[in-house]
Amino acid sequence: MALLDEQVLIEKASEGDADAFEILVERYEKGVYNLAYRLIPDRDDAMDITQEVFLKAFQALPKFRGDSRFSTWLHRVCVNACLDFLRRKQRTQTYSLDEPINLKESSVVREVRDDSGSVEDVIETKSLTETVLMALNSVDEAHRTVIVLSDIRGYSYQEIADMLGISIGTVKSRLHRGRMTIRKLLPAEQIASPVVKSDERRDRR
Amino acid sequence: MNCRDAENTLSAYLDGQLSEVERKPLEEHLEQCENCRRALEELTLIRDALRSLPEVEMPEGLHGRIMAAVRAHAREIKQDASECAGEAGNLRFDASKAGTDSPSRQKVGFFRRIVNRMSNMSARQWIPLTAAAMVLVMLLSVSGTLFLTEGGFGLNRAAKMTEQPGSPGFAASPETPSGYDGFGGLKAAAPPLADEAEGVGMLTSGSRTVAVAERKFIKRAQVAVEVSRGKIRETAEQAEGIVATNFGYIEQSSMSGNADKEMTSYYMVARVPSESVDKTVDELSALGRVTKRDSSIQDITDQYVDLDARLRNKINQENRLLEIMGEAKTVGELLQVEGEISRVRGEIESMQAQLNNNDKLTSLASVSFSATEEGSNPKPPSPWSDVWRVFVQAWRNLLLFAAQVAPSLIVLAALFLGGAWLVRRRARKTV
Repeated sequence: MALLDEQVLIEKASEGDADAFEILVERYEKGVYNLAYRLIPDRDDAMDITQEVFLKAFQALPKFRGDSRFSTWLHRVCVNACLDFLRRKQRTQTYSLDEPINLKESSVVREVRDDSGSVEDVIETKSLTETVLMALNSVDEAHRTVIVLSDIRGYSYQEIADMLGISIGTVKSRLHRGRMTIRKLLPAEQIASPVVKSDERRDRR
Repeated sequence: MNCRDAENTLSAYLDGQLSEVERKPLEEHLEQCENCRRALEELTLIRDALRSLPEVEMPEGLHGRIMAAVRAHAREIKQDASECAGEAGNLRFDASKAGTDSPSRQKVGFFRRIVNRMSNMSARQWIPLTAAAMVLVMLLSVSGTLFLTEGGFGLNRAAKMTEQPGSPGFAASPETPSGYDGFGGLKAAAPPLADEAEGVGMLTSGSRTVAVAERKFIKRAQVAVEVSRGKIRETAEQAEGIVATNFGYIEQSSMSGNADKEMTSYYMVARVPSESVDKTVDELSALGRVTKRDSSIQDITDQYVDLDARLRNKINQENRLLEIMGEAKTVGELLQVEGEISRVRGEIESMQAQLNNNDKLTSLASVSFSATEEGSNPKPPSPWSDVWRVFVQAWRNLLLFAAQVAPSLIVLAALFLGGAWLVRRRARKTV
């Protein structure tokens, strides 16, 4: 029933019915905003992108043929918008290293990524979830996108591959390498199993 | 299985994405390898932490912003649609439902969409476009070069190709009657013969002392025929035969062809005795469809008579001088008379030569004959042929331009792309 309902709403919305579209917006805006926020950890940017995604979706709705779920389609539009945004930003903007990163709960000083895992100095007092999130944000966008879609949004490898237009093998390797990067960035105490001492772990690679 | 292979499959294992075949050796490896086991544990921890990340709440006012943008767009569509309806004069169109007309959505500026799209394109997206443009330019230049060399061949081939039969008496004509210009047009069927029109008029004016029967004429005749395709050589042989049977000889002859190296036209000038001119012309005319036939007579009686009289005077003068020489008293006188006689003698001889030449001219008439194959003559130019020719010329020039410009364009494009690539790479590195 819900599916049929959604189909009717999509049909109406694709004919320009904003009221029908509003129901769809209500249903999916949180997911889209979260996806955008995880890909671009900036509240204002994520808001801009969420708005842009729904406007684009509304314009492009007549072209939506229903060969994937509406939410998947919406998320694909969102991912593309985010990647576009990052690309644009990369080209035009430079960061001040002192500019704080806005996290949900607090602001932290932006980290310059370097392979020695210096994140731990800043975030040693945080919970594992927070440090993982911190580390995630310093993973580069290609790997972050896959991690966000897989682990946070719960998409299957196949769905991610379709969404990003890459092969399943690429999804696999990006996901793995992304996770390994996070692992390397995390402070030893937080994830080390009791058996292993931290300096031993350091020598792993 | 070593640690490296094992480690690379850990994530997929964790997500249950490994097949039976892949899983078995990994699990065996994990049994033995503590490091890998630990890595798997840590990865699990990380994944679970990510999975357990709480959803963030929607910022306040975002929903309102989204819907404001959407509704503004919906209104725009409606307006477009109703404007369209107004233009079409469709009175039944319900303005309130205009927004539901999806084709009208397509009307949102086609050109504008292209411009937007192009300005949003990344360098990576530009590359195939640029490559396509380069390929196009190269194709154009290659085809241009081919076209032009083809044209060049055509021009070369169109140059006169006269055939000179080996038999004596034939001379190459500097003015071969048919040459082709660049577009296959036949220039002239035959050169005009000199003084064609004058002869007859003089019959009445120049007769003072000489009877008509003794009048001297130079006869000229011209015949042009068209023969069927492939018959040109045969026709040429027949024409030469006709000249021979009428006791004439061929002064010059030439055969020329078109761009395909086929002989399509023949031209000759023959000398035949004056009395058999008409017969010769008739026979030549029978060789094909006659497209031109004319004859002319030039009356040189006046010249002839005049020359004859002067010659007689000179002979008288010579005789008198001879008499005077007989009466010479001194050697000085003798030498003087002798010098005078030899001068007069020279004049006499030159006059006699002229008279002989005139005799020859009047006794042998000049007959020119030209034959062309059917269809080798261009059709009368239609008003479109000029347009077409200008078009071809313009296109040819354009291709020439493209061909000349292409190499530098390619180099420039390569430099540009290389530069863009470097800049991008550097930009990437600095981020």
